[in-house]
Amino acid sequence: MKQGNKKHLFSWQTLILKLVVAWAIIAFVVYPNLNLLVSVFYKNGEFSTEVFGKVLSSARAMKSLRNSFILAFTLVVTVNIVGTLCVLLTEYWEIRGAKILRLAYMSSLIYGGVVLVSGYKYVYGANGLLTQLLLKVFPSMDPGWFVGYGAVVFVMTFSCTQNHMMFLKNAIHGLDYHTIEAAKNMGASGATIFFKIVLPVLKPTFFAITILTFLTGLGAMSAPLIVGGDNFQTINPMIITFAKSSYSREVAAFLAILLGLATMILLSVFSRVEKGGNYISVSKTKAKLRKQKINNPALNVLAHVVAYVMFAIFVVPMVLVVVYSFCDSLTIKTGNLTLSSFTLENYQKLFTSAAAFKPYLVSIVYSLAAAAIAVIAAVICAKLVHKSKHKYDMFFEWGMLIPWLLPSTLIALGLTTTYGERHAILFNYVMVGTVMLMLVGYVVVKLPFSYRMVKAAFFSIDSDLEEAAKCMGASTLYTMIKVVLPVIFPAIMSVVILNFNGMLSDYDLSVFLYHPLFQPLGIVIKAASDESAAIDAKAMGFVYTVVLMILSSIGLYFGQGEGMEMIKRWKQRRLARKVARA
Amino acid sequence: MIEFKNIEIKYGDFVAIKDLNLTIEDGEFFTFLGPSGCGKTTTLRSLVGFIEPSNGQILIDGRDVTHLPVEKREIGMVFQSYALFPTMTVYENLAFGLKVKKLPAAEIDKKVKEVAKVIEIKEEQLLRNVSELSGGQQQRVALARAIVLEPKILCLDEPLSNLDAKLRVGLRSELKKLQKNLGITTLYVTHDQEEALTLSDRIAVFNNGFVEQVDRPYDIYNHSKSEFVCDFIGEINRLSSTIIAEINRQTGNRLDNSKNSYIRLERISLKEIAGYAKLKGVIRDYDYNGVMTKYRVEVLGGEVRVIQANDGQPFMEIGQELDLYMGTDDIMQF
Amino acid sequence: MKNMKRIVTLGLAAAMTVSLAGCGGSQKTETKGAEAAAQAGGAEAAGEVDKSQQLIIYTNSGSNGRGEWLKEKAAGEGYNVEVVQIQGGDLANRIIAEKNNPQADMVFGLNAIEYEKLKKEEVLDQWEPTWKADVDMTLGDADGYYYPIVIQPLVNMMNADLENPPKDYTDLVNPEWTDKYTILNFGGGTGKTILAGLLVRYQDENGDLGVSEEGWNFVKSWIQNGHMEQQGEDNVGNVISGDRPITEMWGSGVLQNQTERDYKFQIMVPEVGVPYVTEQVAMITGSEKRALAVDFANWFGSADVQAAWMEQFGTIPCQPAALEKAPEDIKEFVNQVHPQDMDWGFVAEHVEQWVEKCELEFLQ
Repeated sequence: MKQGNKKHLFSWQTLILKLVVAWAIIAFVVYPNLNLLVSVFYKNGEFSTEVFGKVLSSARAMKSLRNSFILAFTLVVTVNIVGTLCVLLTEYWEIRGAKILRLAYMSSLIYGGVVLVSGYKYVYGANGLLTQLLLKVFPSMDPGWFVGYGAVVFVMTFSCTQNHMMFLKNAIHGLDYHTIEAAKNMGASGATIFFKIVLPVLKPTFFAITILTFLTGLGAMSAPLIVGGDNFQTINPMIITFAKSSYSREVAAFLAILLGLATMILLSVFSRVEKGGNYISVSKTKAKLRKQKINNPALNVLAHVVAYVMFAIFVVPMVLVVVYSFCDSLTIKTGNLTLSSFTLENYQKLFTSAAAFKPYLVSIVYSLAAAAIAVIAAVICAKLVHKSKHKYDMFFEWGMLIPWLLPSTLIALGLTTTYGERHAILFNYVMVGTVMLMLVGYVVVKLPFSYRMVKAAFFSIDSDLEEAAKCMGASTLYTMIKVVLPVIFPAIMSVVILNFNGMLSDYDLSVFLYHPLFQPLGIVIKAASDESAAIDAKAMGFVYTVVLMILSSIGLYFGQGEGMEMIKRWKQRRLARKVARA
Repeated sequence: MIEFKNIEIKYGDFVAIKDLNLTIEDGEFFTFLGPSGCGKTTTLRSLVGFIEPSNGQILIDGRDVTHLPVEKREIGMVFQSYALFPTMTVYENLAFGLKVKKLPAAEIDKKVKEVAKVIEIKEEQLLRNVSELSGGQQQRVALARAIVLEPKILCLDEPLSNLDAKLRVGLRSELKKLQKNLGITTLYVTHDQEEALTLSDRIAVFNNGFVEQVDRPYDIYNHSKSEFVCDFIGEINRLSSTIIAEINRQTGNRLDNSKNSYIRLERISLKEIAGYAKLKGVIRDYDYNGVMTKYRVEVLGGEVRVIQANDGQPFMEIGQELDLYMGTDDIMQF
Repeated sequence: MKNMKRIVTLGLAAAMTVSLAGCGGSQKTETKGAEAAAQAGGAEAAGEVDKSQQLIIYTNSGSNGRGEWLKEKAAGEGYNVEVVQIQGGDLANRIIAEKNNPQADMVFGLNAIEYEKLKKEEVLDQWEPTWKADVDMTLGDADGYYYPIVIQPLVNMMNADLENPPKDYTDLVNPEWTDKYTILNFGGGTGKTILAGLLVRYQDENGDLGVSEEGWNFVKSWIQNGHMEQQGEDNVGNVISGDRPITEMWGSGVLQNQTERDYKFQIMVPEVGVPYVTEQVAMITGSEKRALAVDFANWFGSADVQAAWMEQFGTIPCQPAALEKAPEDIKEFVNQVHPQDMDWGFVAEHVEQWVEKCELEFLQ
């Protein structure tokens, strides 16, 4: 009797947890978006199809949509090539100065958006360094050459490699070096080893990264706006423009649905392909990866050249952003750098004004809280789905992935239009105008990424570990916290940091959701670069970004490598003291 | 006492274990032996609680634990992969279960250090990360982690299979000694028959989800109850019907030549023994391993292996002729 | 039991904090604006308000230190105000979204188009400032919802050396000016209002979206003959360098750029005049500090404050008394232009449809 009771109690807890999570997913992910779509398409009690014609007959909309897909597919190829090269050059092959290269290649992790593209413009734009240099050699060339498809692809290819630097790097270190040695022993060449042994093992990681890259391409914003020119504009800026006008919201929603459908097809194709070819390492004892020497001297030189050209591509724009943050605003706007341009005024302004400092605090608190909550939710759902026996548990997976199907602007709109009114599902609580609104929005948009990455981490865990803990009397929850989470902690931290860095300067979402008294950084930066802003305010945008870079770097330091090592060493010392005392 | 009563375990439509009945006495060293995929690990995992049987009951000291969650069963387990927690130090691994039990810190410390001594883990190793240990040391930690909780039952799932031969033999005898000292009822899963014979008080030989035989090692080896058992345990000669016919001719038709017949290698004598059948043979090949030499002998068109201790008897070369002597009592028929 | 508690705590962490922590805020919505609005009519009783209460003011005209300046200046008068700067395009959306949980007490800035939208959504209350009689109420609202404070003429500014400059937008569609003028994005207030200013010239009941075919054809060629502003480009710099010598600009932007770049632009002044965007003040429905807000608006819209505001930030005040004190460059600019006669109600009704049509059909 007693045993039966225990069993019953256990499933009861799970049931409550499931109910709460299901409620949260419905209330914050499904319901607001559904509500928005319904309110947009049902006008006066009728389903309106007018918008289909409007959009489908718009040459510009169709062209932008096509461009978005062209961009997404191109990026899948180019980002994978460049991202993989980044990882291989720093982690797999023996290249001189790999440490410095690694730092440079990770720069895409610490800044993005308008400022990053501006940085590239300072190199390749009409007034840019490289263009000016080239003009001296070829006076007849067009100074405005850096525009359109090629320019967008170039900028985005190099700025979207952060997933490779985070996840592919980890995966390559998870390789069993014995398998490489075995292949060498059987006479395989470096190329054979790479394509037949190394790449297949990295396949699951490539799948995850490819999905992320594709979605980034579809949702491209700053790069096409700034360097796309007249011929290469994409759909997301259009969606955002339309979403802001209450009259044109249906156009935005319809475009978003088109994108969402494409994303859905892509995701299901990917999950099917992925199912076929996943496997886990069978190695009982893994050997640590040792860097591979490139034996062919010509190829070796080539690899070094490629490595350092990429170094320059990554570093120069970033350096210029930092340099320009010390310049007066007119220089920033025109790009004409002279000695008299330099000033410390911008930084002075930042550090002497309390008002300039508050947005940092707001953004840090919101981003950190959202990053953590999203990951916690992802862990719970991944746990519910992982080894689940019931089919309906897949609801949690889809619930977590839904936000990928919609642009963040629409998600924000869904939340504001829905929870500006009283709805029973949220206990008639009006969330608009409270500080919670933006937190919910931040969490929601970070759910899919967090879930995808946490799930992958879960699948990499040896199930023996959990069983061993249970044998020793640990409950499921205790096992989770003390055994499973520490094992996947590095992965979780990476996700938290990427979430954190991603939200730190968010604008698209925040603009709809922030509490008027707590303006986040993105809003302030945008206000600084607003058309009505005084020119000298634009300099502040750069200053904010440089400080952001520093913040993100600190985040990275703690989320990856050295910071984690430091914490680990500290823990070990603490334990040593404890044991010694006893 | 552990009792398996009419246990059936299914994976979907596949029946892994059919109607299993076993009783294991307190303090016994009991081994599940069988080839891979025979259901021995499945049975062990159902006792520990990782698998719920679709039918039947598991009793521990008369108490039904069939549906009790793993963490309530208080059974220690050592995994083939050791399953040491990679994020923890050796000390933390050992203290894990004690912390779960919420023992006071001082007592945890005492117990951890005690078990470390018993299992010969050096104090400075306690603060190392488990990944820094060698395979043998990891195995010790895994074992220590299980016994520090003083479970009444200890389950070991192929714990020595990842170690090198010498270490395996060394740890084997340590394990035996430890089990005797602690008196823990021990269930041991292995596919290594030598390990099973050396360690066990009793052995259950599994085949295809069935238990073929439960017996003391001596009886399993010498009085195998089935063809499978005698074939799986140790090395054995299968005798052709020509040889059986010849033996029957010499000894008076005591063997049934319609059955399969087997004889252990060491039961074939090279010296004449009264009442044994004498068969002529030619040495075709041999394996020399220092202590013993195993000869492959051609007898009546078939091959018979025979083993001889290298205790001063003359060493024989390939092509040499010799006489083999077999007693009908040593021939097992199925 | 303890374990269960933990599970629940962990599970709720993700979701429940969201609804629990914010509970305090929802109470505010209980009192609806109707009575408050009624009391606000007699806002003359200025001496009775409690100035220590915090007023939250929304504006799209608070950047570049204007917010801080106003806060400081108001504090000198004993007011405790928080000025929240929100971009023009988003400000009205936000006020509408917060309908059931209003955060702000009053709003200033925006323009008549946006205020008409707010009026329709019933998020504004009627009121009356003490300086109502001083300002040109044709710029404000006849129904008494919003009152003008600052004028913003929207113009095309041109390179000083541009010879034979265009006189009107109708000139720009000529091949002579192909790719020579920058049109600001229709998402922003300036771009949108200038577009509206063109379309109202062709008002036609029977036409598509209230505009005649001729009007649409003209706007189409105006858009396609010009250059749409791109993010991050220096459109003012292009005017000065002559690369693209004409760009749309709002009044204070012209003055500001003249000062900052030390340059004197030519201004294109069509005969029909240019759209005057007028920044206004209005009271948000649901505020519990109506009397205080009106008291503050009375002070803020007064000639003295508006004159100071002008001197500090180069705005063009509606208060004639304030405008008299204007420095030369402002006066000169104001004298150059005159307002286009526009039916703002008609514009407000259609402008979003117009923008959508242009974005979908004419932009390339």
